[in-house]
Amino acid sequence: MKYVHLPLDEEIRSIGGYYKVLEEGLLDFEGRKILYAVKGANAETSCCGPGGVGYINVPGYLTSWKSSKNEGGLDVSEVKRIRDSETQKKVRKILAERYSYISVIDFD
Amino acid sequence: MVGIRSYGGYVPRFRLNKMIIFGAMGWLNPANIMNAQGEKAVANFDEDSVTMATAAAIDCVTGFDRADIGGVYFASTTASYRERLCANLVAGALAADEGIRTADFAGGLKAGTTALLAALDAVGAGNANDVVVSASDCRLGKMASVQELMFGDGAAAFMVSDKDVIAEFKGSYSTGHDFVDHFRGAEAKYDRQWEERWIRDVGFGQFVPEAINGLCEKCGVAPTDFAKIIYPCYYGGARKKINKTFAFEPEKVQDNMQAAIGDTGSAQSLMMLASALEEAKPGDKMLVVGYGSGCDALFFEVTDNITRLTPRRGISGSLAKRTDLDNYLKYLTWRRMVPADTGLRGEEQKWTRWTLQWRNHKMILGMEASKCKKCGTQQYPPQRICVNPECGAIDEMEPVVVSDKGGKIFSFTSDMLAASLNPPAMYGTVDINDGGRYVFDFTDCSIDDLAVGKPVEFSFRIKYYDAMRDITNYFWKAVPVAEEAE
Repeated sequence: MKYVHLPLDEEIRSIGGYYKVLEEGLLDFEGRKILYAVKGANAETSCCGPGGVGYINVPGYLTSWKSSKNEGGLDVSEVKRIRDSETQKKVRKILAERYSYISVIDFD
Repeated sequence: MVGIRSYGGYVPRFRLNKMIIFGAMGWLNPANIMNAQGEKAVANFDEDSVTMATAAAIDCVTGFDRADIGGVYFASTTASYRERLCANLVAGALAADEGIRTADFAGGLKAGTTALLAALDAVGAGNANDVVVSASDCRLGKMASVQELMFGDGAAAFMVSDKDVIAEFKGSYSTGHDFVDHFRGAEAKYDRQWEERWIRDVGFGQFVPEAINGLCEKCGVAPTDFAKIIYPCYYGGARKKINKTFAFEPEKVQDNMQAAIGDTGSAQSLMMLASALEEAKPGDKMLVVGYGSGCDALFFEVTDNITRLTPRRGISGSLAKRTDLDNYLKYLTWRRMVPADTGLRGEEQKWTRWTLQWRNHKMILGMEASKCKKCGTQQYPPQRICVNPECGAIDEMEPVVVSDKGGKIFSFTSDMLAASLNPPAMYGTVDINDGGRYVFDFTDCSIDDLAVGKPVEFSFRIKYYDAMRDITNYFWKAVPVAEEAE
């Protein structure tokens, strides 16, 4: 699976708000590297009032780091999804300890 | 030629990583992670808008004779008094002559640029000269609010003159709009804001361009003529849009220091201006926009005199002098956002004798000492009788300001029993350079920074706050001189 590296701290706008990639990191896990991204989403133009969330997205095991570029000139990495629920549980625990202020961790 | 003759800046020493705030309060407002990058400058427990404005003003008058100061204007939305002119406190700390015009500017966040315009008008009209304008803010957002992450503390000051100007004033354009994006009622401690979208799209998105266009039309210049473009806007997307609208080259747009200091309210544009002047070259055209309840747009052109200005600490020097505040609760306690028990000693009643305060106001505010006209002996506190046993002259004294002379530590102690919002309280005896010895609190330091014989500089600080009567009293404290970043 391809993972496109969006510019850090840049607003990606959509209807009702925007999100940002705040940080990207590689987690050493059982001899492999896992790519994750800390993101924030803010719905500041919604009719029912503003709100948002910070979350960590885990694309998966890194198989190649920034090995190509997409048509927009952005770096692209290759990842393999983490589907095993036990592994997800372990990874979630490590990231939750490292980023104690973030409550939402999801896997692609 | 009327314009800016000198500038100064001040950023408090403590910096709080915004992620520490988010780590503590993000559970309540998760969207705040978007504003949790970088750090905010935090005033020490004994600092406020008045002390920071004073520090910037002192930096501004470096190399100038304070007796020539022809006016002092103070701009802030967080002044320590609603009735008691804070400009007089700043002027007093500068040891300026009392026969000058002093004024406070407040209300909207453009108060800083409005104060600067008022000084330019006064000097231009020939009614004053060498007017010091100092803007400072120390605004508070509630815990878990966006503002708590967005706001920072700091100050900037300028001397406005008709001689030796480093930046000539070429013109201005102002607007006043009852546009309520941020507000605080008369009794409110915390800022409130309306929807971000509205502030971004209407506030910054319309009023800043309106002011820039108005100035350019009035002065016959194009937006792209400016070498430095200064405007406050903490929304990255809105800044990009404004820059694109005017085809501003990114390197010409002054950094708003949001990730290093935070939004300093009425001081924001002026701190950016002070920072820009540190790197400005003769001939640079500068655009400065103050925003809040409307806009002030000002046009300056840098002159050759900037190459001859005495070196000063400035914004960059203040930024370099930093230390981490790694404790969110300490920040809350210092800003009196949470009740804290400082023990029985903290409950002691400290009356302010205003008569005594007035009688000694030059000694207290201006750190004015006495110097014997017969033998030259300097003494602080000022004396009527010369302390030199070989002299003993009576009523032969002339005043001398010692706040900028510094001193050396004669003795010091660290006291865990004394009531303090930043224990241990550190105090001791300081030998003032050229004469005089007095007991001072030490601040902006740890006990490890103190040593007998170590040089200190003096800093105007809150001596104590009387919560019962809402009285903030000021005096000078000693700060160990640190040459390098900590």
